[in-house]
Amino acid sequence: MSNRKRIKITIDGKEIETYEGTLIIKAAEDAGIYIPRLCYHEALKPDGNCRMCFVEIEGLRKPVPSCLTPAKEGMVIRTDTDALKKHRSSILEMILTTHPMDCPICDQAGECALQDYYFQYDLKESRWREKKEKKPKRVHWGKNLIYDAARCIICKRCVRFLDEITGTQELGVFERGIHSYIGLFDGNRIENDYSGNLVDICPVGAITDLDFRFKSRVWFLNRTPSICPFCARGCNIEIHTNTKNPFSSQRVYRIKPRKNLEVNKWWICDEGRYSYEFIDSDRIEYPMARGKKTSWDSVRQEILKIVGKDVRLYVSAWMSNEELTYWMQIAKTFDWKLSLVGKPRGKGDEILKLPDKNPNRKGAEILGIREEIGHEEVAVVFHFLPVSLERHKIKIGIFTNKFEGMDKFDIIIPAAVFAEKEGSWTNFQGKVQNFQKALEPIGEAKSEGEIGEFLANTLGLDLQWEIGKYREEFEKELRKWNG
Amino acid sequence: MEWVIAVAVKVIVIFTWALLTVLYITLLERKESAVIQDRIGANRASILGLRLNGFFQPYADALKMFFKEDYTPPFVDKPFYYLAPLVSIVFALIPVGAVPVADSIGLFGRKFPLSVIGSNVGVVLILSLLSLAVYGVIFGGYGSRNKYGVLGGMRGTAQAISYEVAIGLSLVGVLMVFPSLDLNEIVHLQNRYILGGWVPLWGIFLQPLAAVLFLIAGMAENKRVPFDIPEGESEIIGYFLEYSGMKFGMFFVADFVEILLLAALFTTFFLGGYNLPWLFTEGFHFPWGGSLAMSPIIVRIVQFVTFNIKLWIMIWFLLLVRWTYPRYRFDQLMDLGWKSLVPLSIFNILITAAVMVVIR
Amino acid sequence: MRLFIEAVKGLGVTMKHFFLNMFYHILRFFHLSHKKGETVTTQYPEEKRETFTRVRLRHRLLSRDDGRLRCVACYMCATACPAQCIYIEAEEDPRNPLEKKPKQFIINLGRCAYCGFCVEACPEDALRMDVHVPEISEYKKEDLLYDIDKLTHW
Repeated sequence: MSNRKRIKITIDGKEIETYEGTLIIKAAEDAGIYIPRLCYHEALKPDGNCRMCFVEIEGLRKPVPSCLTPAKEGMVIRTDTDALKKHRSSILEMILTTHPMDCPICDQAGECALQDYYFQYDLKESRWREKKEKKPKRVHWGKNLIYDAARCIICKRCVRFLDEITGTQELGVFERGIHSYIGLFDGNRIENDYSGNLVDICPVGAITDLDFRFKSRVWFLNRTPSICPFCARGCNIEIHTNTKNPFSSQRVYRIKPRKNLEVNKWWICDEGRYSYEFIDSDRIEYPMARGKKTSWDSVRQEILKIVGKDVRLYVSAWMSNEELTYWMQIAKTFDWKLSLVGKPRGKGDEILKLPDKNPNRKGAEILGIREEIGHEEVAVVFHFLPVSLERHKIKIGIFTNKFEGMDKFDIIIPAAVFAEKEGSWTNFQGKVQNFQKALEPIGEAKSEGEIGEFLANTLGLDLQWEIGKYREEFEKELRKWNG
Repeated sequence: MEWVIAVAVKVIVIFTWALLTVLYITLLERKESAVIQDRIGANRASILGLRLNGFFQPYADALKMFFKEDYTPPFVDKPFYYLAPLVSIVFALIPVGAVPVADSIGLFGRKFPLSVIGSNVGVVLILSLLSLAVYGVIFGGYGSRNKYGVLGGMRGTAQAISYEVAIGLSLVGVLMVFPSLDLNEIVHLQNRYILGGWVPLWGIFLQPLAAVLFLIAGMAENKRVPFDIPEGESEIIGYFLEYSGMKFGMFFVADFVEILLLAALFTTFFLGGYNLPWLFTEGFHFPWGGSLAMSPIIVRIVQFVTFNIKLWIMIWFLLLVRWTYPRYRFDQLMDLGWKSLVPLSIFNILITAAVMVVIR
Repeated sequence: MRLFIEAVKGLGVTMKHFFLNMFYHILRFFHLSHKKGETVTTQYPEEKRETFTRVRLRHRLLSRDDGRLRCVACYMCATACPAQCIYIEAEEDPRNPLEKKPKQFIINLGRCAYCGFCVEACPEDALRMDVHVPEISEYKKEDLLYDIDKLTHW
């Protein structure tokens, strides 16, 4: 990068500095000027088939596609002239001759580029008097993908994605002209681990998600930035929730990726996208004693029994940095032993997925917590069962979801999942990333920090759970670890 | 002995009559207000599907009143609280007993007046009992331990006491014209005729000013619109604010008994009481010379019916007034009482005296 | 004195109403006339006032010619509803090109403000408020949740 020449160009009267050879559309976007586009996507090679991104360059007679034109020293570019607006309007009118007007039943409505541009540039009645082209709807492409050929504007983003990012090349454009459609090559199904991203990159509602299909309209959803917990990469995600419907217990409707060039770029894997169900179903909502519902008072009684005994804390690699620091503090005060539990290793790949399926093993590592098996009288287990619990007499569990063998625990305290609390995780690169609270904890569940405060207060220790304070303490540890 | 039986019978008959009348005053109030206001009024209460345009409504109202929860607030002053409705209704009902509904009747060789209290100082009795009725108001207001109740009670008391004076003074003129304190005697005295026997010598013709004054003062004493300041439906509810169920019902009934009483007194003093023109104890004597002999019992019945008709016309008129005028303000009310009614009554007494002296 | 005259005039007004209405009431009682005079009362359960055509009362869901609901569960009504009283659950509709149909369509009439925005918003003309039945009442709060069954049978 650095060996490329710095140049100056002018876009809409604004002088900006960029590298030579940068595409105009990219340079403009970096400078905060948005040029409408349908086929262009930052991550993909430009194709220039939609003609929406045309700009005027001084000295050239005709407008040029900004997604194909590299910037040159001294270019004077205009993106918003009347002629260009008229041009965009014509492009949209042409696309809309074949695009069906089924926005009311289209899941993309509300976040559809075509819809937005129509309202921005076109906004007129259709002049199309012939019958619209009938194309197949509801084509199942494999996994969670539903393709609607009628809505497709042949921008080829999906084709290029499968070419360039996954390299699996399942899709191609078939037929010509108005009859063209995107189709699977013979014998293929889209089964790769990043298929969900096709839904995100499709600018219209041609590719929709079977998992989200007809569940909700997008404008009902609250979007909360968060971090994917399913592997050590810590992909940036957005949790889309809706808690307003009294007739549905579903709270999380879908997971979408957030752009972060250092971690996950624009993508997330299908595992992270479709595994949100554990947030709403099979949750432990009340304190349990040997598999039966009990009260917080009896939890208090049970906790008082461990006074003066040897205790081992099995903290989990799913707890936030702050919670780990806080629990370490508690353990230090009472002289308890600490060890780490987490999900077993799984498969990784070269795009995003990592074999370590825990979001915060790095954080535990920084704090110096290791996986080991203890033989103390009392075990306090977080989230995951350690290899062996047989040696411990009193078993206290802090779990989010129901599992086999819950009745073996003397007490199970309901814990909040990551979407129900705030905190931060350290990913495999040592990057500390925050996640925010998207939902209220289910039932009587509490976050691990609050449970720690409850436990500490029960045992007579005045140690408040303050997320900011423990954040600072963790950062101290992080600096020490980084040297 | 016969005397006791006679009184017992009178008590039962007269008070049954009075309470039935009161019951139907409530219906008349509802129906009349409805008709005045272009409505139809209560017509749903039915017995075996028989509606009769709401004829049974008063019974339904009374039953409802009985079955409503009678809640006593915990903060009230119990003795006064329980006493107030009783005082109200008792002192409203007793004066009704002093009003003669027909001429006295001779039985067992004795003369029985057809009113429960055949007293020869009936007027004074009624006036004194009326002033006692104030205690119901002030007990209710005070016993409720509620600022609105106390306020209502205070207003009611001030109003009642003020208008007592006007009532008393306006009656003085009547008593000067009909020199007796016995109500039956006063009614008798009104069965005389002037102008060749064509015009009956009723109070209203002899004392028109006193009649108007008495009517206004009586309505004010009644504490009903336009003089319902102690109650003020839209503002403070007044001295029975904390009452519910039958205890409120008693205040409510006392209200209507007072209407009956006012109408009965007005009839007695000014409309010739039970007198039907030209009807005497032995029958009609028409001024054009004819006459119609009737047995005394028939005459009593005709008199009773006459009295009732006059009574209902008065009640109708009182209700008409109640549904016509808006409420007075308290200072206006006091002005009206002390600055208009009382001076006018005194003026009326002077004029009456002067005229009587001149005539004599 | 002028006040007195005005007061008597007032009595005259009420008396005029009383006697006029009473006259017609009596005529009617003896079946001599059906005129009501100035009386405006409607004897509700027996006689009902005619509703205006544009009046907004309880909702109904319309059907297509083949008997299935017009509604495509697009949530436009739920989006437009200021009282947020419409709850829809959509499901796959095998018909082409409709794709979508309501599995559950609930209007909470206890919450509804009868503003008619849902009717305005509906792109399929599937929802209307032209059931001219003013008696929208239930014994239980839960019964005011009108589902598809209640909304299609009125």
